[in-house]
Amino acid sequence: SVAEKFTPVLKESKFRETGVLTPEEFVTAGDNLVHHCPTWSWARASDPSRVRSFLPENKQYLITRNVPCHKRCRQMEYDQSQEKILTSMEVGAEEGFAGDEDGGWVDTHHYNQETGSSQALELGQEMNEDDDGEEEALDLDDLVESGGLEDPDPNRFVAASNKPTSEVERPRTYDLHICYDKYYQVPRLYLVGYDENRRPLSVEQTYEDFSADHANKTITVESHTSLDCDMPTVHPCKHAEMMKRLLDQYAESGKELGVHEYLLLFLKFVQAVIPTIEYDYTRAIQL
Amino acid sequence: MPAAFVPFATFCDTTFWNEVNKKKLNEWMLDETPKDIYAGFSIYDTVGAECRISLSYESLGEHSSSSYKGQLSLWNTLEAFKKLDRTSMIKIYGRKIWNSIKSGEWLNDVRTLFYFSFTAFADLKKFKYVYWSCYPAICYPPDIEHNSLVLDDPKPLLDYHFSTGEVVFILAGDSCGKLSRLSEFSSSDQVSLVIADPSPVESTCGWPVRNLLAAISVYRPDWSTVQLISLRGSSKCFSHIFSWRQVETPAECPAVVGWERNVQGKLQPYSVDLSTQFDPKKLMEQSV
Repeated sequence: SVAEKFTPVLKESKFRETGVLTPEEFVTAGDNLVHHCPTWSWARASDPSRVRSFLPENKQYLITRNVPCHKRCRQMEYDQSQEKILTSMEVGAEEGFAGDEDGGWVDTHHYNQETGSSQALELGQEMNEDDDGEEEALDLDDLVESGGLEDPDPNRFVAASNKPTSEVERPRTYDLHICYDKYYQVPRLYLVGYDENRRPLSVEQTYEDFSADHANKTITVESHTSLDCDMPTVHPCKHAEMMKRLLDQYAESGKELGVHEYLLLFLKFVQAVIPTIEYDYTRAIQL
Repeated sequence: MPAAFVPFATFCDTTFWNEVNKKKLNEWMLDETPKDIYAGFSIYDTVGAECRISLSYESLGEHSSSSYKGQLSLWNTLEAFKKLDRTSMIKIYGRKIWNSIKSGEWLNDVRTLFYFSFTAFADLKKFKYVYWSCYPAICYPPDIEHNSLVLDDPKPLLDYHFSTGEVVFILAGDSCGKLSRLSEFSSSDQVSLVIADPSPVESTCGWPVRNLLAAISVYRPDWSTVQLISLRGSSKCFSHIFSWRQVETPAECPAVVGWERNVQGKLQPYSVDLSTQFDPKKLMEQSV
């Protein structure tokens, strides 16, 4: 962005005072993340013109792939609002997230009661959609092979399917990118989603995986800092403030958080925005 | 237990298609000759029942230690894409791999065993794409059986893999070494092969192991068993013992399988519509 172009690179460490990071600190924190969670790795810019000179060429941004997302956000909201009435219904298996909203920085009122009544119907529809999720954009009918293309292959692994609904077996998946935002001087999360049929999600579909509170405000679609592509991103304008508050909470409980742990904490806090994406942040850090 | 192998599944992100758009418009134009392409894999996946292959902006340029080399065939018309004789194509790929096995090339360049093909048609006006990958696997040796044991400490193996970038290597005693040193061992119980395995399914090996077993059984016709360690980053590592029925090495390439199946298990191409991401008109509408 233009504003970013004219913002000088932050030189002095100020993360404890204001929650911001210098590019060097971003690299330190990134190295630590890669070390502790090797599913993350550093990545390069897509072409030389996008290399940002204040970061090492081979450490332009961080990426992790194939993070599962089993249900849409509204389904999670559905669990919550109906919890007392439908205790016996096994609507959702993953309850872990709901219980984790400690810390005071997660809005809990996004469990909107109004949406409850129409949800059952919507869920049913969605499953049907999933089942015939192969509607072809181009006419490929004459390509469908009913055998003959290959010999039978007894050694091909096929997952045992004892679950009737498609959604459980075939989650959406996400690639997460963490870039450095020079203007806000904080890490910035970008998301690339894939549907149950391994196709890239449209931006609108991606919105289904953001908590309602954030979908229209905190999530924007912007050009990636290192790639020639627009992607949904968690807008970083509040990041420094949030990180500062979390660092203070830590300090109050007598723990000192090093700058290298910044990204582990950052991932825990962005989880509030993307609650259904099952990034295993618990392994990364305990609050 | 008869052996099973976890097949590949291709994930193309928008940056990959964006790169295809640019190259097709500015560089390749109507040129349909196959291009080199690199597909990323990860040994940290624990999700799903396929070995995930990622195609991104990097696939048309750089390659890393965690990628396989293949070939991109991008056709100018949907007709050409549809008309492809995929039965003949997979036989040709199979022969290429079989030649690497017979000549011993695989011992020096093991990635020749993991060669893949990505066929596609890109409609650059409507931003619709059709594609179909083939990960050829030679169905050989016959009657593969398999047993596995948990491996206690894979750390030294992971260290070796990451420091050398080798995707297949050997382990003898406590020391790791290059695959080409396989010739130093006369008996299959003196040595284990270690493969960086993209399979997310615990105790089941990934697709690339198939061609490796084919290669070993041809290279050592006197062996009918091999120890193979499936190296994973996030889950338990297993040491597998594969055994097979010894037969005389066929002169011609045996049966080959590997056209990718969709999530319903059907042999069918994928199609994707990225007009909401790429179409300038639609982007204008969105931003209003």
